[in-house]
Amino acid sequence: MNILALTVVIAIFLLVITTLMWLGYRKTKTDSDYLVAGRSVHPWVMALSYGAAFISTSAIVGFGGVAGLYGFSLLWLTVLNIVVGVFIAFAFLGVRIRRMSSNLGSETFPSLLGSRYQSPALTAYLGLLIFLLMPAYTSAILIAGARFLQEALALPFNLSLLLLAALVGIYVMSGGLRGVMYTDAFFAIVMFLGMGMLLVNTYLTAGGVVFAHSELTALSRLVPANLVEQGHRGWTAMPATGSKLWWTIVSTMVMGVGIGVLAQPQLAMRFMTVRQPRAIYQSILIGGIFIFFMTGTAFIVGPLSNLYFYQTQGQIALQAAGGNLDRIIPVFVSQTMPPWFLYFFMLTLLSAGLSTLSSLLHVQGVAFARDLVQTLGGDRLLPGASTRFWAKMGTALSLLAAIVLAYTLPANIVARATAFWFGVCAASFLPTLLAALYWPAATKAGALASTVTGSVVSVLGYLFLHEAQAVALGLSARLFGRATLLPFPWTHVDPLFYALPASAAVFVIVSLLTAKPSPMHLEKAFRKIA
Amino acid sequence: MLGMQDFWVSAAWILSVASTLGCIIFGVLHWHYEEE
Repeated sequence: MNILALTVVIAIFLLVITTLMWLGYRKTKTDSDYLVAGRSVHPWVMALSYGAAFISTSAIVGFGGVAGLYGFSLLWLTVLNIVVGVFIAFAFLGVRIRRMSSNLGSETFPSLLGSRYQSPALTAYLGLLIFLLMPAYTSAILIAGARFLQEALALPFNLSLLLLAALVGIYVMSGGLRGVMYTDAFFAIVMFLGMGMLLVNTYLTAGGVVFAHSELTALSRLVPANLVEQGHRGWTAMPATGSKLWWTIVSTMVMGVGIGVLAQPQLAMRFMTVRQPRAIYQSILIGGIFIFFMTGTAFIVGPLSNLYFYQTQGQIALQAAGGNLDRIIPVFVSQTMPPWFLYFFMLTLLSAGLSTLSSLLHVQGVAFARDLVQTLGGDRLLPGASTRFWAKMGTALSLLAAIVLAYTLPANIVARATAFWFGVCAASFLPTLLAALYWPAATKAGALASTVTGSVVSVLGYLFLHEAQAVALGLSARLFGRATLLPFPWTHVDPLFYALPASAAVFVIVSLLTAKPSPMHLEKAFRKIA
Repeated sequence: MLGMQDFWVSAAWILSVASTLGCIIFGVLHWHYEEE
């Protein structure tokens, strides 16, 4: 890359971000502006911000590389991302979240659930989970972004990490959610253009849709023997049912990430920012297209890169990328796209990382301020300090935790930390969220029992049973002398698979056995909903 | 189907396109949605 041209491109990019951040800063005058962007965001901005916060660099490069190795079966995750992550999330949860948060005056995900169940303890527990466990996911996104800057700009890793952290920290703390969403919308446009061009060029280069698939199908004999043993049957086939690979793809990647998105606090908060429910319906149009061009492109280009590398170099993608999955997409892009596109693609990946990072830091800061400090009465320590002050302090602490974790977490942790967070979120929050919106008879005790059950079972599952996280963290080996406590298939079944049903069952049983909420409270919570 | 080796992978490809179209159609149909 031409360093001068690259510097100019990045300078323009930073100028746009700074301008949008300044706009967000100027319009942030109240706590409501900082927390939920004044509930007056344009539907397209909301949809683009939701998509940009959802899709990180690791979703494009990391999962795209995984698709390069495992094949088109990852496209089921795209289907779930669109059907569950956009359509169901927006139409069936988003509209109700918007109305109920307005009915109850809630401005955060934990406070919405706490108010609905009339339980400050639930608000504090959810806030604590977000504040304590989300830094692992934040750190993974930070590491991925810093690694990318390290390679693209030839900067030392430490400097890349600190630059990225400082940039995001400044614009989250100054612009609040309004600043975050404005910049997210810009990032989303860059990402959409970059991934759209990549998809079209890949199919054109490969000779068209059906021809490209047919040619790739003919290469199934090239799948490495160790992957065939794990159940790999070719890049255009699903893995053998019940094999290790099948469990990894279906339970962790497709179901884990596909369902986990429904209970992501930073995404649920986006629904509270629009003026009226109609905006959420309108944003489904943008959200569906955006997600298709993000994960769809990554999961199509990844497998097809095998065809290109075989035809030009006689190698499969993994070999051409030097055995590093994270390099498959960048190497493919650098060899097939015109030189100017490399700059654009770099901005695409940078946008994906920055948008997710800023959303996570904002939601952690808000959880610290509203759900922990104010719910537990800690704000009495500094009388007169605004919610914004505590939120900025929370963001700063979260950023610090993510930086420390970036130096202490084991290598190759990005995908594992992502799966961990999505699984914990689904098991801990999803039954409580769904019941809050759809089951008036759900009780406070049921919500508390379910949230505690889901979080404890899923965290224990990742620490002691699921091989991908248990081996990397090493706690099971240190405590029990074994990498995992149970044999296959438990080593490859994502904890979400048993933690979520356990959490849901506990919710229903406890709710049926305990006192129902007062009709007056339910009438207020469900006004214009049911 | 579509040059894929496995029906379920073809189904994923078709469904990812179809679900995107579904989101577009839903968005257009509800563009002027009014609350009761």
